[in-house]
Amino acid sequence: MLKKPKIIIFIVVLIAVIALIVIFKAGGDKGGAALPSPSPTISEEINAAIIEEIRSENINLIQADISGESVIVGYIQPIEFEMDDMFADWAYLMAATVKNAPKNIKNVLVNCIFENGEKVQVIATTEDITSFINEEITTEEFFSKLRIKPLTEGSIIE
Amino acid sequence: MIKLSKTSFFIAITILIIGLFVFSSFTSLAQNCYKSPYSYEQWMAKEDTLSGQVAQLKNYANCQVPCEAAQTEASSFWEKYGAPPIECGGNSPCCWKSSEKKNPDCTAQLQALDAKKNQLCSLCNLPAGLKDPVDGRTPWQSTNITLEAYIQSQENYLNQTVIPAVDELATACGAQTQQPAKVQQPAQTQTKTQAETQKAESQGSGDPAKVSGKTPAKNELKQKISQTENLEDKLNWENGKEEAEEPKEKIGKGKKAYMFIQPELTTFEAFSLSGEMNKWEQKFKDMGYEVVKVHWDQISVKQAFSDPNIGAIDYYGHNGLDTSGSWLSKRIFKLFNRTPAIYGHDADSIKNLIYEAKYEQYVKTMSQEEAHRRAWAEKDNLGLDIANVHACYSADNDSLRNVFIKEGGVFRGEEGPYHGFDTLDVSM
Repeated sequence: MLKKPKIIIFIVVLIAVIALIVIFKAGGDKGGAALPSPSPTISEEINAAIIEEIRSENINLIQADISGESVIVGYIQPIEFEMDDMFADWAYLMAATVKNAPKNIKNVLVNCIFENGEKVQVIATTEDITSFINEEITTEEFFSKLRIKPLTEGSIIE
Repeated sequence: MIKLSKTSFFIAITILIIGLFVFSSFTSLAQNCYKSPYSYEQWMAKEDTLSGQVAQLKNYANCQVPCEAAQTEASSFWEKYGAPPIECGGNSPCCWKSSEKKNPDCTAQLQALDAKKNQLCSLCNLPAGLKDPVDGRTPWQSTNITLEAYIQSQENYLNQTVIPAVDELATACGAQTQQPAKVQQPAQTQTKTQAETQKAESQGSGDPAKVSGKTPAKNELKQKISQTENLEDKLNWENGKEEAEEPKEKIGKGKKAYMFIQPELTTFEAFSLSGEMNKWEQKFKDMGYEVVKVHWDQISVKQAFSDPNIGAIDYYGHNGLDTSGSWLSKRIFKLFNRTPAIYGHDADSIKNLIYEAKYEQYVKTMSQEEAHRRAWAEKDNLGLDIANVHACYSADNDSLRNVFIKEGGVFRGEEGPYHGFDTLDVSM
């Protein structure tokens, strides 16, 4: 007689525990961003000079690829930084890339990969980069022409 | 007897529930924190590859491979960098130390390389270094770095430190074996590039150089960039989400939109929120509001809440209700209490802020009783057209909406955690 209620209680408790776990997991983070698979590559098509040049400025370059009319360069951005330093890295990467890239290249895409795994892609046309480096447009104008595309959701602002 | 066994049974079940609960919170936290793109198997495979590479380099640096194999390996490194393979005669590139044919003119260079070789040898333990340097845990168990970032840092270390160091050793070998021209690989490549560039320019085809002269140094660019303030406000962000159109009419004419930013945000957090901030600043201006950007602090909050012209607010920062305690206690706290809040102020606390702000304003021109009466009557609703709260859990219920928004207004917030690059999901 006693055994039956015990079993029923046990089953009820077990169901409750499972439900609790499910609720807990569902109620947590909404899943966040699935980070794209990292593919740090240095394309052989890219002249070695660009790689040498960029690394000489202590930029942690991990990717340099040509895709159609674009060059994609990726680097690791320290998570503790000053905004101006990061912007200087972008500008430098773009300038060095444009200087060394083949003539048919129209865009430079900088994959800025933060140490915490978050990523943004900074997109500029070679025309704008050239104008900036040759001082035909101001810094403000140049940065207002950049396009920033988040590749992840961003860390949680809890 | 029966009572005792029932009690024991319930105690056991309770312990089981608590145990499962704690275990679940650990599991869930780990999943939420890392979001690693690698499965454990992929990670192990990656580690094996890295370990293999490092072991190879270790043998190479310590002359534990036959000379011919080392020479082939050195050549492959050169090829990777687009330079011609070197010829090292009978000596492995890494064996310069034992070479009888040491070029006396290269002594200084070789000493420098000796130091480099020591550095390289210190990398021999890199496979062990794949463990967390602090407590020996593998990175995916660690709390302060994502797996992806860790692997990338290891790969960078290989690409930027190990391989160039081996290249330098190979260069030294080239110097001793009558290949002086090939020793100057970087300079040679550079010269060749410039020559090719000039040729291409003169022929009007093929390779690059639209930028006149040398690439400006990073420091030069930084100096230039530093001269322009708040460049992050100029950036155009694309988050790809379709959003509802804001009203075209100038609903904010003669009113102010206060944009509050939490002062303690890290540079990364501020950067990640700058896309939303730029977008909303422009939207408010388009709607006719005068935009006031301020840090969230006592003075600015009182000023805003007592401003008769306030028409909108927009907050960027943390929910702030659980800023202390361990991660587990925070986690459990969040499970049971996901209260909408701004900088630690839930709806009731914000009502108090509104009361204080309004009372201090009213008491300047009327009696304390009258000021209290009016402030008390107005504290429950600020009567705004728009309130955006870029913080976690801000739309988990409508408590903040009810404090800020007047009939017909719009409240935007986030149900659950808010991610920095994201737009607000909930509109009510």
